Amino acid sequence: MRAWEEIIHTGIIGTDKKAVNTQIFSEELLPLFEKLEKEAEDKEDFFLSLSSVIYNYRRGSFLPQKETVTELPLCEAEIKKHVNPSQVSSLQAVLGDESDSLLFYWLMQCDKKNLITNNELIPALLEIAERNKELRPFILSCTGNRGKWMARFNPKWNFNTGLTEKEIFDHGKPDERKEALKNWRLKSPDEARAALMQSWGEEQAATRLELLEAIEINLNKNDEEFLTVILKDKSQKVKEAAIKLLKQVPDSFIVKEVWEFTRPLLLVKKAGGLLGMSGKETLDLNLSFDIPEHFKSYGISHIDANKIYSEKEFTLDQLLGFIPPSYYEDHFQMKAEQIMELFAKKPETEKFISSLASSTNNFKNGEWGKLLYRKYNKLCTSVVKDFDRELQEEIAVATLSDFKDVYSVLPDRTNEWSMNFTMELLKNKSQDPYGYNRNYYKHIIHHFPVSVAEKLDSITVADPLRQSYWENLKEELKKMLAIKQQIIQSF
Amino acid sequence: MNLSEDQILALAPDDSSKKSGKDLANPSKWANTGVNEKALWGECQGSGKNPYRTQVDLSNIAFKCSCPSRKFPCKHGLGVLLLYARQKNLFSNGESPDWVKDWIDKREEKKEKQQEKADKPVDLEAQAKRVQQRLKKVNGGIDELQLVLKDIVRNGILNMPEKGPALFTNLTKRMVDSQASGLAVMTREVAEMNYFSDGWQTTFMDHLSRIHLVVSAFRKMEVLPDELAEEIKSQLGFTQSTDELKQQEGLNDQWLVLGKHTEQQEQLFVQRNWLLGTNSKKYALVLQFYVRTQPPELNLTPGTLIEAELSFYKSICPVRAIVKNLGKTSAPSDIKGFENWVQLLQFEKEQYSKSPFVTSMPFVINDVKFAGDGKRWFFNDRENKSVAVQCEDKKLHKLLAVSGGNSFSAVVVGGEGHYEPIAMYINKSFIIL
Repeated sequence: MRAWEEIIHTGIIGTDKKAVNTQIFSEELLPLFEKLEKEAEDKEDFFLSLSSVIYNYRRGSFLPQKETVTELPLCEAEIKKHVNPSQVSSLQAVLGDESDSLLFYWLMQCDKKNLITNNELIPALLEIAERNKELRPFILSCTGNRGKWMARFNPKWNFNTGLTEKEIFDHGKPDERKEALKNWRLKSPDEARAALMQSWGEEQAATRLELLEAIEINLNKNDEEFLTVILKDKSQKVKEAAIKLLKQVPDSFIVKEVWEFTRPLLLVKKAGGLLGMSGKETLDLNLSFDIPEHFKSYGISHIDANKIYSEKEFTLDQLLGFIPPSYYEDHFQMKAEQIMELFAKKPETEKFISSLASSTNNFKNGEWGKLLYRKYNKLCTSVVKDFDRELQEEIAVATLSDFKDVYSVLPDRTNEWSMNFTMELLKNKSQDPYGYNRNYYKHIIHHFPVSVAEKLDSITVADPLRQSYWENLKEELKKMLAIKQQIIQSF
Repeated sequence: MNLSEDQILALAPDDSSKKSGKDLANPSKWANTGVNEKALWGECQGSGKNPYRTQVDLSNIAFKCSCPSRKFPCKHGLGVLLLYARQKNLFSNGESPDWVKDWIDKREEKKEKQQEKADKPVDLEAQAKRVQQRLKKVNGGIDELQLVLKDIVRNGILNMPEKGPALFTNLTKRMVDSQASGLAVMTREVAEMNYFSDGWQTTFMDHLSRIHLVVSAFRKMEVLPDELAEEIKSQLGFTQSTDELKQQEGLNDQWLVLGKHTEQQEQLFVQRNWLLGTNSKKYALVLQFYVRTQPPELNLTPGTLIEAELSFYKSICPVRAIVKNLGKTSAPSDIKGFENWVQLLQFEKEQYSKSPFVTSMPFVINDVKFAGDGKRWFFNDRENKSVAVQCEDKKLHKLLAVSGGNSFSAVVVGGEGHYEPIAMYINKSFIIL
């Protein structure tokens, strides 16, 4: 508005130096301005009166226009039903508590019932999906078509829904490409590897390393060729990552080469047992060896930082960890249990049980893992996911002080833990309420049975200085459990 | 009457009360919870020996709690209401206990007493004398204010940011001393202005124009019509007696509470409640002033419909009102606002032409849709005419999510082509943004 611009212009310079140019105003206003000038005490009074009139004139002069911007397309109708008011209430309680664990629990129930959330809470959920990749698929499922429709208004909510892994891998951002490649490996490992091979030359070293991590998923013999090619990569870190992967492929040339070298070092002696029965067999380890120089590039080192082994023993321990459990079974013509017994017979071979655990961990052999834990108390974390829940909880109780992240031994994020395990965990963690505070519980509370709330008072904290903190924490836990109860009731 | 969580949280005096209220919306904290058509109650175990007794008057939302908190409502009041909104099954239906009944009865008695008090005669002569004395004082303050305004425009406003808030803070004190509290509010707004924002010059000149308008109108008050003179006095800070207002005939209607805004001015809280008469189509502003330790007389919740008789302050363009009689509260079944932007803007223009002192207020417009390209957003009316939407992303996303591209009724506040949505009505739900 020109008139107002003139007021501002004059106001900035000051009436002492500039008079308002009334000629630019609409002709119909001129008589009014003349009247104001006549009645004004001085030029400042006139300026302020003019300003007041034009201010009001400006406020009332706006007329709506037909804008060229197009109206938004309507969101597609929902197929799924919306949650009911009591389910909305429980979601509001969850969001108010800012607990990802309870939100996960709520989303699971919503998804199970094939429902979608109320529209009002969709932005809040999408904001959470933005930062929490684990909750993202559930949130997308529970926000229905409206959630997808909302993605067009915030680029951060565009989670590539509806795109194939190939499309995301070809055109996505670095993080998205990595995620897509991982998902692709789960569905079709060969296709995913072929895509990576194709783009390999154009990727930067850091990106190559990141993408290579995805190959660990569904790693198989077909990957060997690609991994062997990239052993010549310029980046040392990429080479090391390729070797690490080749070490996990049972038939890879590295594994075979190490096995060919190691096999003669494992000597089975038959101690004149009746009709050659296995009970009399013992294992001798030949420690008079020198590894080929290039084995060092496989990550085999000489010095044991823990000083449990001699130099040769330490090298042998690593070589044995290279060998897949199936090779041992073929070589000794024994079952897993017998092989472990063979190693355990003599103190000088018993120490290599941990090498078998490394092998089990490396090649993810569930059967060996179970035996090693049950009989030799060796935990192979990579196979714990294959154990039954009872055993997992037993391991979790035994290792409560070792692992900060309980999911390393109880990897299922969906189920409810037993009362026994929950209480053991609480008894253990409650002794350090500063380290294991509300933040810790708000990520795992959905696993707790609701009825544990009644038993919280029975937990005692030894350190008197920590008791009051635990008391407060206990109240927080009760509150979170009450919300879980509310979720259960609402669904 | 079912209040949504947003409506309940809108009653909270501050953010910490909202958080504490949410924390207390937990069944394990409450015992003996109950509800009937008049009240909602419960006992909450606090740090003391005995549980706190918390009660809510549901007919005219009001709170009472035996806790020592000085906030109104306290966290227990909010907590019990939130718990009721979330889990109604936890509240037994039936007769209220004596402690609830006593309080509800006392509230009704108090209402009757207030009515009796309003019937007492007023000494008009003494009142007129007081007004004259005050006008004399105001005159002195205005002389000084005019001098400063003239100085500013004579030398130019360019160096105002360097001068800082001191000049207008001192003027505010002077206006308080001269009993021109309305002008004190205006000068305080200038003192609190942000000079770092783009276009501060326009904001500054807007303030100056408004102040000058009041000041120059005051000088000519004797020749102005009575209603306009009353308006000017009200702009200066002269209040009309609420007792007198209560004696005059009010406007009975079902009033929809459109919005509520509370701001703190030093020790005082100023609460603006905007209402729309669903039959009369009249907009009203109910102002409440209170200190932290004393609750406001009314607890109006946006999105609720109240049966009430409102008495309007004398004005050329009457908007400010008091609630003379308050009846039941319910949920709206429909909202009728302006049909299109032209109609709304025409109404605004008429208001400005009647009284240049009218400030922006919330309006309801029906059947608007969103239009935008991700950078600029507009509200299109059913004739496809647009005004720009001015709001933060969070609000915008909530509006988008709820509307899904469909039309809705919006409660907007703003002017000059830019409107901020404060609430929406869609699918029979009033949603606070």
